[in-house]
Order: sequence, then C-alpha cells, then structure tokens
Amino acid sequence: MTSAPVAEIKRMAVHDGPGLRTTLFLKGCPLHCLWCHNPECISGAPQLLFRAPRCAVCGRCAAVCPTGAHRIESGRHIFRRELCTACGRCETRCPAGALTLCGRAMSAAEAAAAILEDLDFYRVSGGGATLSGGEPLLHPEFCVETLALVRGEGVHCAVDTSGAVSWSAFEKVLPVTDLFLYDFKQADSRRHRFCTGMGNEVILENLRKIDEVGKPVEIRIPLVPEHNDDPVSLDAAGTFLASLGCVTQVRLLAYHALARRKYAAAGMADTMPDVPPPSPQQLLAAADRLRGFGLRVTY
Amino acid sequence: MEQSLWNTFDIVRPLLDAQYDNRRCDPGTGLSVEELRQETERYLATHQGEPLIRTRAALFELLLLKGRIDVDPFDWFADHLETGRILYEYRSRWFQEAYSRLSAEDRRDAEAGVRCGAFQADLDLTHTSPDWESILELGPCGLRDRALAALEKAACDREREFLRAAARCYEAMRLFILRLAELAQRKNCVRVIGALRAIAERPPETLQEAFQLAYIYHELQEIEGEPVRSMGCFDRLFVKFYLHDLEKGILTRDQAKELLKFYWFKFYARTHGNEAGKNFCLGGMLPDGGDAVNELTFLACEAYHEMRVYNPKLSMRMFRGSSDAILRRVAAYMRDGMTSTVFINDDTAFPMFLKRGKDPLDVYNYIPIGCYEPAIMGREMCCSMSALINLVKPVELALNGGIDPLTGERIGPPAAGTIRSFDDFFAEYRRQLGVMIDRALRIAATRSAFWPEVNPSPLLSGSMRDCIASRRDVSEFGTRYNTSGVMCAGIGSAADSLTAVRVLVFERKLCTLDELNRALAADWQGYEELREEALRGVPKWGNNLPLPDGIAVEIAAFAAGRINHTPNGKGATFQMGLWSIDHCRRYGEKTGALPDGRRAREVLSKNLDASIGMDRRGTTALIHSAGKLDHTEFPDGSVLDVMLHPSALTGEDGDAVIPALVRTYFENGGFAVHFNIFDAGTLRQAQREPEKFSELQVRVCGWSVRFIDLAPEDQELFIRDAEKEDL
Repeated sequence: MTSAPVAEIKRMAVHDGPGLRTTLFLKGCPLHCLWCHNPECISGAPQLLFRAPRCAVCGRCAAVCPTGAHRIESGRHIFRRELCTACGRCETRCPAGALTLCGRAMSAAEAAAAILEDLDFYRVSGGGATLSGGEPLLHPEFCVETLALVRGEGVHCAVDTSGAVSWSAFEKVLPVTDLFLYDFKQADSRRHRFCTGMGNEVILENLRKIDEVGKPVEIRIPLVPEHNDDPVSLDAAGTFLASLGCVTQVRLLAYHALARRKYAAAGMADTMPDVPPPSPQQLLAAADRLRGFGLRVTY
Repeated sequence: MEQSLWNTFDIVRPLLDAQYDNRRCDPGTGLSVEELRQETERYLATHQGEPLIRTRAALFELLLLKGRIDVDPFDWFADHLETGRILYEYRSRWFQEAYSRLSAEDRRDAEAGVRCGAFQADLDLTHTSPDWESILELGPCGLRDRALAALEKAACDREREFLRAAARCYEAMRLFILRLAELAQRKNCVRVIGALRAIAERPPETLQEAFQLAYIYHELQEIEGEPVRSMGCFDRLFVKFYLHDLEKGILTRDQAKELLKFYWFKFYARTHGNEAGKNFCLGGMLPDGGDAVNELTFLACEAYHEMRVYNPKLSMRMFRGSSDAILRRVAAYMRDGMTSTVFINDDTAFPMFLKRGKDPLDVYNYIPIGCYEPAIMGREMCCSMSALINLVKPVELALNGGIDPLTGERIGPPAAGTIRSFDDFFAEYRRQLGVMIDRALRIAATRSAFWPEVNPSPLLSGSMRDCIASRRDVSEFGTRYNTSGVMCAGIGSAADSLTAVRVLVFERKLCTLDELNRALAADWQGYEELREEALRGVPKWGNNLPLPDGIAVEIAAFAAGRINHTPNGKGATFQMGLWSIDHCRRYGEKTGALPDGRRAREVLSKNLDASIGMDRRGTTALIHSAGKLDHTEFPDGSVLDVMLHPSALTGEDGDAVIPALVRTYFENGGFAVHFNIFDAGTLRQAQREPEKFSELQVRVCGWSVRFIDLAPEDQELFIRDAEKEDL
C-alpha cells in the first residue's frame, strides 16, 4: 500500500467536478505558477504553516519544539523555518490555531476511507471524489490505489491535473478515472514558461493523448489579467481546445489574491501578480470569445 | 376586479408597515380601552360564580362588539380592533389564583429548577393552531351553527356551557365583521367591503375572502388569549380559492400574488419581525402519496422572495420523491439571502406519529407549531414547551453529588456511590437526569390540571371539530390529541462533557475526577494545559466520530425512554423534543465550567449542533452525526442548524449544495434542518456599519431576525461560528 503527503481533505466541495465531492489535495508540483493559490502544495515535503497574525505568543510551541525552531524573544514569536523538521508536535499545543502541519502521509486505504465517509452525499448529488493538489499524478500509484478502492463502491472519480507529468502516470490512472479536470494556462510555450517555470509541450501532448483514448476532460483556465486574458492567448487556447473531442466544457477560474496569506504562512516568497481580479465583464468577454470556437464555457 | 386598485403594494408598503404602530382608532367607533376595562370589570362583578367559560365568551363578545375599530382604505384586508390586552390580564389574574393552591414543594422545586438553569415546567398556552379546515369550510356562521347543532347531544351542563360559549364567540365574530364592513362602507374602503360582507354570511369562496377570514380569526384568537403559532398547510388550504378565482376571472396570477403580499405583510407589521414569527407550512405528502406542492406553492415562494421579509416564516415539508423543482427554487432564494425557511421530513414524521398511536389518516396533515414542533393540523394541542430540560446540568450534578455548583443549591440526589469507571459516571449522569426529568414532568402535569380554571378557550375550541364532537373545550382535552412537549437542550455539550470525562480521566488518565472537578470549580484558571487537552485532545460531537456520537445517541435514547412514556395528566403522554432554541444561551449563563473545556456561563451547544467552533470536520460530518440519532423518538421535533460559507455556493454548481444536504440528511433519518449563509467578515462589517446591512437576516433558532437587531453577545456567537470557515 502506497502513501502520499496530503495537504488537506476538503469535503462538500462543489467546484471540483459534478455534485458534492471530497477533494484530496496532494503535495508536490512540477510547476511554479506565479498565481498559485495552493503554494503550500508546491513542495512535496511536509511543512509547518505558521499564520503569524493568529499567534497569541503564548510560547507553548517553543516549550515542545525539539529543535528550537520556535522561540519567544522579547514578546515576539520567532520561527526559524530552517530548523523545523515538520514533526508536528507544536500543532496540537497551539491554542490559537496558528500552527498547522501540512502534508501528513496518508495511505491509499486511509484516503479511500475518508472519501467513502460521504458516499451518501455523492449518491444523492451525483458527486464523487477528486484528487487535486499540487499535482496528484506525481503520486500515480497512490492515485490508482485510492481511486480503485472508492470506484469499487460506485464513486465517480476525477483527477485535477496540470498535465505536466509523464504520460506513463496518465496511463496508470486512466482505467480508474471518470473525468479529468485539466489546467490550460497559456497556449504559447514561451509565455507558459514565464508564468509557470516550464514550457507547455508535455501538457499539450498529454491532452492530445487523452483525447485519443476518449476520456472526458473539463478544461480549467485560471483567467489571470496580463498573463492569459488577452485576445491572442484566448484565441490560441480556443483553437487548440476546439480541435479536441474530449472537452466537455471549459471553466474559467477568475484570478483572486485571497491565497496571498498562505505564502507567508508557508514561508515562501509571494509571487502572486499584483493585478485586480477580472471583472464580471472581463469574464463574460473571455467566455464569449472562447464560445466563438464552439466550446461550452462556464465560470 | 377593477384594474386601478392593483400594483400598489410597493407604494403603500410603508403605510402597511406602520399600521399597528401606536394605532388610535376613531373614538366614534366604540369604547376606549379604559372604558372597555370598566365594562369588563362591571361584568365580572355582576356575574360572580358563573362558569368561567361563559365569562370568557361574554368578555370576548363585549370587546368585539364595543371596542373601537378601524379600516384602512389602502389595504385589502380589515381587522383593526383596539382592546389592549384585557383578556391576557384576566388570565394572569386567574393563573395567580389557581397557582396559589400549588403545594409548597411544587413551587420550591419549580423555582429551584429555574434558578439553577436545570429545567422549567409550566402550563404551555402559547403553542396553538386552530382547525383551519373547519374555519375555511364553514365560516363564522357555519362554526356557530355547528356548535349549536351539537347541543342536542349534550349530556350535561358542562357540555352545554361549552357549546353555547363557542357559538357565542362565532356570533360575536360575525357581528364584528359586519361592524368592519359598515365602517368600510362609510369610509369608502372599496377593497374590503365585499369580502367582509360575504364572510359575515357564508363560508369564503374567493382568495381574498379566505385570507380575510384567516386573518380576522388570527387576530381574534390572539385577543382571546392564545397565540396562533401556525397558519396551517398554506398551499393545501388555499389552492382551491386561488384556482376558483383564476377560473372565474376574479384575479390574475399577479393580482393573487399581490393579495398574498398584503396578507403576509400584516403578520410582519404586527411585530416588525421582533418575535418568533408565524409559521406557514408548504408542501408535504398527500394521503394518495402525491405531492402537495401546487401552483400556489410556487406563487407563495415567489411572493415571499420578492417581499424580502423573514417573518412570517415558511416551513417546507418534503419526502422521498417530493418536488425537486420547489426545493431548488427555495435553495436559490436562500443563496440570495432569504434563509428563513426550515425543511421538514415527512419520511421521519410519519413513522414518528404512528409510533405515538396517531391515526394513519391524520399524519398527512401535520404542521410545525411554533418552530419545528410537529402536530396534526386542527386535531392536536401540542403544548410543545410544557417542560424544558437542560441536558448538561446532570453532568454538573453527577460531578458534585447533586449540588448545582454555581448556586450551591441541592437539586439532585446525593451521589449513589464511588465512581470508579466511566460506566459508573455515565450511570450517575443518567440517574441525575432521570430525577430531573421526573420532577419537571410532575410539575408540568400538575399545572396542566389547572387549565380549565385558567384559560378555557371557546373560540379556539369552537374551531376544532374534535371539541365539538366531544363537547369539550381544549382546556378539558377535547381534541383528538392532547400532547405535552419537552424541549431537551444541549445534547452536544452533554455528549462532549461525558466524552471528555471518559477520555481525560478514565482512558488517558491525565487527571482524576477530583482534579477535574477542581479545575471546573476554578473555571479552568490554573489548569490551562488540561483545558487545552479537553478542547483539542478529545473528540467532539458533530464530527462523525464514534465515541461522542455514541454517547449522544445513548443520552437521547435514555431521555426519550423516560419522557415518551410518562403520562401528561391529559390522557396522553409527554413527548421529547431535541432542540434548544435560544436556551443554549440562557441555560449556558447558569451552567458552570464543563469537562469539554467550555468556561462557566458560556453558551451551550445549540439545537443538534456541535459546540461552537467544534464541528471541525465540516458539514457532511455534522449531518452524519445528527443522522445517527433516532429522530422518530423525538415527537416534539428536532432540528439541525447548518452554517454555510457563501463561497461554497457560488456559480452554477452552488445551486446543488443545499438540495443535496437536505436530501442526504433526510435519507439519514433527520427531521428538520435550516441554514445560515454568511462569512465572518460580512458579519463584522455589519456590526460596524449596521446601516448598510439592514437586510442581512440570520436564522436564530426557529425564527429569523435581522442581524443588526441581535444583541451584541448574540452577534458575537454568530461571528465565532462563522469564523472557522474563513481562510
């Protein structure tokens, strides 16, 4: 039985596929998107999230920390992340909920049990399970085992992927996946590299191969002003996506900066673009532009 | 009808809103309240020794025939009658006279129960609903004649007195309606004259006549002295009038909707939403297995949504296979901020009623009376708050040998023996709870016996076909079902506290029971580490976890076993309800620190909910926990509050959330559920800038209010509850 670092289990998720779903966020991602809204899922290692504004400076974390990563100095909480081994001892001591260990290893059996807890909600709503992240397909064995276990109980299975993994990972999960939620960020590979740290060749190639196999795919475009909402980008995306038969719909995800606090909590440099979220008019315009290619677009 | 009379609701809304505010009727129309009081006093002085029910009918008649009245030209309905609260005042006097004969022990126990926040018990006259079918089918003349016709069968004076009193009330009602009609004629209030004249002489035929009669009945019953808590199964009762008007071309759909707004707005104007609200029930299964949802149901939801009020309040009955269309519609309105609808499950209600021995033909006609307390429309006096029990208090009593820690009073028996295991402790909890329940029920039953001396209700009883058939007033248990409800509050806090004792003392052995007790006596001061363990290291109710959920199930089953078989002194038995409404706060203020980490005087868990902030595993887990209880054992109702963050409901997909949650809860056997949808940020802002959030409504318990009208401490509870959902 394989395991994977799970950042979060989100129950009653409604935006990760049809119906009410349970979404597992796995840690580790090959991309570094500027606008990433789950930055704590980029690293594959467990890490401690420290939400400084919540800290009451009580010092209980410092009392249990085996490496001295937490210190209270002149009424301030100093967290030296480089000393933290992500042992998680401080998490349960913090009365303010400022400390969370993100990425505990979970076995496929445990993950399946967590998913099956809400089986009745899936049945009533036509929902199911979604593996997301991070990039879940960095853990293909875990995905296969988990999905096989829940699919046996009649659970609809979706995988939310960046596509930036080897085809062999897709080959493994294809038999146990009912729907892919597939990110499409930018059709121009040079610009894609600028935004995500990687060209898009593998992503497009994998999408074509899924199309050949014939699995349904919901395309998700994070609409980020100045990065992919211009007519050229949208037309290129529309042209490519319209050439595929597997696309059930294109969903526009409006960029927002709500995740900014998470960068600080994870001790990461904030890369989020300093642009306002797209207005309803901009969203509608982008949707209409893509609809011009015969695509079904929601947002 | 004449076109120019329509499309006025939004224009006259401010006038409708103010119609009951410091209203002074024209002195030329009758006696002032002070003069009425003199007349009623004179009546009482000259009629000493006559049966109380005759006195009640006579006083009622006097107010209706001599009080000042008024009619508004802009309104589609007439009702104004200035009586003060004279009959309530007499009732209080009769109450005091009767209660002065209670035994010293009874009074001492009752007062201690209240002082310690352990229980309350009394004669509950505030949860009634009349026989709406009889009222609409017969009208005042028919109701009067039905009572008179029954005189033939009367076997004794008591029965004759009752029937004559009932007939007298309905004749008074007819004459009152005629008074309104004549005034309307004089003031040229053309909207109402026809309907008033019609219902004064025959049963209603049009929608306006039916609404007019229902509203006048409502007002008059409240003058008689019993609040009308439910206006019945709205769509079933009124659809025939609606269809009649459409067919005859009397009203268009839009005009019917406008009429309904005028009707409903009267209920709002009465209280400006500051009381619990009158219940209108929609939907549910019909005797043929079909769905009661009809054209009027949709019209009603539309009108309600457009009015943007939260009072009156709607209850939506559902069953497996009931209309998804109406569920989706109501869910969409909720997303739009109109959250004041409670969903109720026929599939749990029916077996629950059958267990209680109710007639299988009656169950289709139930309504929630008050907030969620189910009762058969027109056939049941449910007295749903005859006793209130704080399920958490016995935890304190078990820890302190029967002494209430905050007051130092002994209200429970001394400890039965040394507690060596969790089983011992749980047994002691049950023993203390059992004693408390028995005491509360004894007090409630004793006081029920005073009912005929305190409050015979000839108007209400005269509507009830069972009372006419049995020739007995409701105070003499003339209806088919005469139940007494027992609200049990704080199931979550009770389960969490017992779980904490088990885990901290007997499993992890972090402290002894004595040490835990010292920590509680100190309100956790100096025991912060232990408190952290209690808060965070112990599983909590509402998270779909076997230990606390199992304990909650055991507590509820024990209480139900004790309550549901105890005779209520009215020829029936008490019945358990598992809800708290705002007693989570009231009882919380009288409850010391608890083993679950809660500090003294803080709020207890509300209704079936987790303790505040403790439903850490989300809504689906909360629903699974609540679904483990056997809701058919709570015939006085039960309800779950679900708080949703708006982000869970955005986009097209968001439409599916509320229907899915309701359906799944009901598949799990739940009885009733309602929703609050907001984020903590919005609530904080509303607190700072109330003028910008006058429309923000929250479902408090069994009713909704404007957030800005809540007391600051209640606002704080909502914010704390919402905060856990924010990023």
